[in-house]
Amino acid sequence: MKQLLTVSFPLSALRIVLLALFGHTLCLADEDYIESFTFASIGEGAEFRSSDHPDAILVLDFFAPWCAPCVGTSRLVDSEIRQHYARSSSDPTVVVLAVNVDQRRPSQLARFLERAELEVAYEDLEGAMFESFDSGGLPFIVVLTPESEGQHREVSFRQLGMKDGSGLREAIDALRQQLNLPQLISEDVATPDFSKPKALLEDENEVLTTGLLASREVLDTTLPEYAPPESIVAASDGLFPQLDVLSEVASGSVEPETVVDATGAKLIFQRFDQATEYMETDDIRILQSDFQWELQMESIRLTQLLSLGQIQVDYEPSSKSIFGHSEELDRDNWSYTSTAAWIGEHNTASLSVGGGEGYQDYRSLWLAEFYRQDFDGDPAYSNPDPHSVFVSLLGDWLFWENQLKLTLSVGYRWDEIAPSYSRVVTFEPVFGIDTEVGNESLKTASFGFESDWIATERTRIIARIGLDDTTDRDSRWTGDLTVSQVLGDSWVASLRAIGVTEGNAFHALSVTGAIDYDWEESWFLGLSMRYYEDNGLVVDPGAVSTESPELSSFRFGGRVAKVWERVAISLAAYHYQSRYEPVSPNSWQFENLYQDRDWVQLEFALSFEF
Amino acid sequence: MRKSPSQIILACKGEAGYHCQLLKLLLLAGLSLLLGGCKSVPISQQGLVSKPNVSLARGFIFNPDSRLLVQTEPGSGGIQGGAGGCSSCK
Repeated sequence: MKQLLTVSFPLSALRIVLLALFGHTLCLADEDYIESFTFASIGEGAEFRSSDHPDAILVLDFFAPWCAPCVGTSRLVDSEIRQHYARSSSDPTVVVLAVNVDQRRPSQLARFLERAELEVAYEDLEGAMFESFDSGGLPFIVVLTPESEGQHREVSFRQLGMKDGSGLREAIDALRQQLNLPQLISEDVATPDFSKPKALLEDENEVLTTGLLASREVLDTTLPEYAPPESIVAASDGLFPQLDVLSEVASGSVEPETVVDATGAKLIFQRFDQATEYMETDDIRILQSDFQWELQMESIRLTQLLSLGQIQVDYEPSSKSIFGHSEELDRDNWSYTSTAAWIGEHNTASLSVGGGEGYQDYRSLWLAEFYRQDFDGDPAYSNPDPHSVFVSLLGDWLFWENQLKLTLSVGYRWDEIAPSYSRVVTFEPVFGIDTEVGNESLKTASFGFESDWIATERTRIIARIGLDDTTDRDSRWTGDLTVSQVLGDSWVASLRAIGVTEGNAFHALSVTGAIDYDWEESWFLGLSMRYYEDNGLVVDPGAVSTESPELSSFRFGGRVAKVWERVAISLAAYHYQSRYEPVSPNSWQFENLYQDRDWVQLEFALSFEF
Repeated sequence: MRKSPSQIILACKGEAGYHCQLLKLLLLAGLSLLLGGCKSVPISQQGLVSKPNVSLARGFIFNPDSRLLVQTEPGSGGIQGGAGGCSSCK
């Protein structure tokens, strides 16, 4: 084993370095010349031989059945390119081909063709030609010149994604001009004659002799209908199925169709997300609702997040205490985060600022009530007013054909905690309580590094390392590893482990196992189990401490999600057990806070794009 | 007695050595996977691993992180979770 590690590690490391240095230039070189090729037709249509159209300009619209933005792009290419040039009788003809690059899921392909309204498309087996272009993502469009005397074509234009058809049309027109051919007069683009039967349009130009959409009877769509919801989805960090082509696979590279609003500003998409999480046990009920609005305008994305929380605690002092009384506590909290992100071709940079007020957890509320009841008459006691402000910077980069995404983040936050224990305790210890001295404010600097890596066609690994440095505490290191494995077409098994260490004082570990099943990436059903344990935050068991003793917890439950084109919802329900070790003998005041509990946890999430 | 590299790497002191070793094994496992399993996966074949429940994208729908468990578990915060994952401790 030792020898194996000794040999394989350096080789693998060398491989990584070589790929990093030369991967793009050696393995993924651009293809500038295309020899004659043949695409098999999907279905019963005739195959396409490029040699049969030597004088035609070829427009290749590469898509994959799982690629959400490809649906909209294929529609757009059809409406704004194929139909546009179909009305032209000038030479050379423009032949538009929709080309599938992934043949592994036939059922998804049929669904894609239906949604993209493509009745004829072609196969690029195993994406052989597509991969030769080093596209950087999907959807991907290439314009090829007519064949030269050497029977090869040149790549005249290439484009990742498609905002509208104008850029592609300009490229095609420029090519035609370059070929010394008459420019197409295209006034009809702005006001296409959709009333005209498609069959007639097809007859006007041999561009449709390729069979593309040849059997569709009537143009039954208008321009607004060409706005593909999938393209909007794609730019929205992969909330919907078929995915994250933009955010995770072709991150930032593909700009979905642009919608021009009344002010002339180019809106790419808007999305509203809402999530509510609720936990309840006998004496505690906690709720958090997040409302997020996201707006993307070309290369800038603005995100506003409002979080509203509610904590209800049935406070009960220790049965051993002669002071204190039961109290029903009900407190609200909120936080607001504003984020601006600048999206480049292969990288994103974002800045977030925010703040909040209120108790952030039920433990602090419980402790605040304890101190209020015991020290309210103390002149040193002050009513707690917890609040916080925070700022963070984040940058991510895509490498190796989007196979690896690295993210770096730094953050700083300032928390005014509650209550101000140090003032209470240092002024006059009461009843011999020697409470640990805390801080009135905590300042936390954070650093995070994340690697999102597509290891194989079926394996995805997300690894995070985080460092938090908080006032008067040891640095906290967090390691977070998630391995997801796709089994068949519809099963996903994942294992996640998180380890935390804070000097020699505190350590925690959690492990989550989950299994998911999806039906055509429309319905999702998942079950998960999660185990957590730590060694407690009590530093000195001999002293009075408000900190939590050793904790272990277990959660089991399931989630169901449904995804439509513009809307997605999910519901989850879990049973959660939290089990504490007994508090130390001197900390009996807090035995009701740190008691074993059985919880019900419910989650609801909604996403709507417009 | 001379210690082997693995003994040095995995040396964890204190009463929490068990957790410490688990954490380091976790990091080692991740590193091994990263270095040993490198394989080129062209974009046309990234469909399965781009499912939303695999990519764990930031949207709320498939987000695996609970926002409330951190209130119970002091070790579930961190990485900008605020005050080392605990804004009220001590």
